[in-house]
Amino acid sequence: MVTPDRLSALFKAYHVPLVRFLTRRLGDRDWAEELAQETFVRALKQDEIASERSWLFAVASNLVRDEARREARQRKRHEVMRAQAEAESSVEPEPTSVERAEDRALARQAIEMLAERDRDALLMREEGLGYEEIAEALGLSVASVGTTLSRARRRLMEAYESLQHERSAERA
Amino acid sequence: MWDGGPGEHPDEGTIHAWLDGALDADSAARVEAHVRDCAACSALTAEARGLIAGSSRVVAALDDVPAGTRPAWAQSGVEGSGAAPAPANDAARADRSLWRRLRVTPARAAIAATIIVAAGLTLTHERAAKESVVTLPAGHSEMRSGERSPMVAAVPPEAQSRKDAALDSAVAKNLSIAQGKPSIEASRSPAIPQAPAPGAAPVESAPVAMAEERVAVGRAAVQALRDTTAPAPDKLRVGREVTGAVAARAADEVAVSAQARKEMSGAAATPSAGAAVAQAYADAGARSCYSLESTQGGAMWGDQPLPLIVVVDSGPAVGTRSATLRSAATGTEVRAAWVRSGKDSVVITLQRVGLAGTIALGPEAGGRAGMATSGGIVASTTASARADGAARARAKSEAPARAPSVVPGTSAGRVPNTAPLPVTLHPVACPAR
Repeated sequence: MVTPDRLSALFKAYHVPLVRFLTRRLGDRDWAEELAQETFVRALKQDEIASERSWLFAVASNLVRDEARREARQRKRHEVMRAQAEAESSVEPEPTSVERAEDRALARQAIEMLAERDRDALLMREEGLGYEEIAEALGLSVASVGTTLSRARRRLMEAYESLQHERSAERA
Repeated sequence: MWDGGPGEHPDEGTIHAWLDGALDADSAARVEAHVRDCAACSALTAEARGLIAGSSRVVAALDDVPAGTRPAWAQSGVEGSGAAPAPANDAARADRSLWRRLRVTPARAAIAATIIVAAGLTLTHERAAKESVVTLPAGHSEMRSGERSPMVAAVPPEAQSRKDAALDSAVAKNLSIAQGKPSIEASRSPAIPQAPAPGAAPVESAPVAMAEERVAVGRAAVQALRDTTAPAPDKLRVGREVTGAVAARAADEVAVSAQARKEMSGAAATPSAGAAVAQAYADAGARSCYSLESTQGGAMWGDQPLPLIVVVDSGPAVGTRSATLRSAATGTEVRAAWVRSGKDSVVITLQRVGLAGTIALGPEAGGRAGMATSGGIVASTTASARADGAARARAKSEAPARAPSVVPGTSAGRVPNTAPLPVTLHPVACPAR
């Protein structure tokens, strides 16, 4: 079992990157922190964790997937709300600078357009995980991580640029 | 992996792996040599560099994320559909609670309140320590101010040394005047109170409780830094700046809690009792009496069964007063310091040779709720408690009851470090002097 001391060390080392990873993945900081917390709780229940960082990110990633399934039940309701929101949002001033908010929205859209595995691999890499760790977390071969990342990066940039063009066209 | 054969070009994945530094030295050298001589692969490498930099920038743009939203796939109905997340809007906000809209969850509010109370309490305690009187019953004649309880080993040394100096000095001075037989060690770690929700349900298992507690402590530390020092626009970035002091403090508290919980001993249930005397709170400066009980059945505090009758001598409403804690079951009395902060939190601190104990209680709200733990080597029957930071982080964590390892009344033995024990303090009529 993971000792409390070890868990403390894990928390100290990985809480911030894990929350960042989850925030990027989910788009909600509170939610990310909840899942990060759940990840550490699960770590405590483990008898042994061989590769801690990859294990934590793998669990976090799985939790996101579980959440997605759960949230699916509420999607219909959200859709209705979203439609209402869009109808009303035009009159609401932006809380932050327009450009920044737009960049964020585009980035969010672009990242959501990636396949789940590509997205996870990319976000894990951005958190500094090595190829072996990513492979372990996602159940890939180490040799395929480079391909996964190159595909994720290319598609992300293509999606982002495409969205930028669309936005420009809308304005024109 | 690419073997660099004649006429072969590394694929895009290999080039990314090379640029990511994921290739072994030989493979990296082969790729580098090839790229140097191959125009196509050189161009591919340049593009890969651009993709890496660009994707990092796009990913970084995700960091400016507010709380209380839901991702696109949860809102649009199709995962990975590319739908934009719904912007902040009235309809969406109408679905959230007021807490959510204010980005203040109940847990955050509790943490923030605890931190505020803790800060005030620490300041008050340090100042009040210079005047504090902590006396002990006869029979404890050693003055071993240099001895450090195992319960406080994880307290940051810098902050600790300040408290130690003030309290050691005050205790030594007062004991020399008031008693002939000083036998107390100054409080080294005034704990920060956490008022658990009354009747908080026990968690499903101790390990989970411990983990949640630790996680909550870390979150509290992070949150404290965010809420006090972070510029509002990008709190996530602040999260990365959580450094040494706060993180170490959180980890230290976690370690203390873990150790305490590991060695917890407890016993049978003590029903809540005692006639409430609400006026006692209004007359905070007058002699007042309380019943210290546990929300946990069969609670022991050190080797003393609860409830304890706490008699607080008259003194300043805010600051340090002397108190006597008497076990209703055994009649054993111990003296302690009662420190009430301007935020209306109370810390009862007791230490003897080899013992450390604190009861940390939250503000009065029809009674006080808090945590108590204790530990150390006991020379005779006594009780002490100490609430550590981890205890205040999550009130609902409760330790499993186990048999005490020290029988009350024994002349020597080890009082186990107790897990944070949820306690409540209710005013009662004072016994006759």
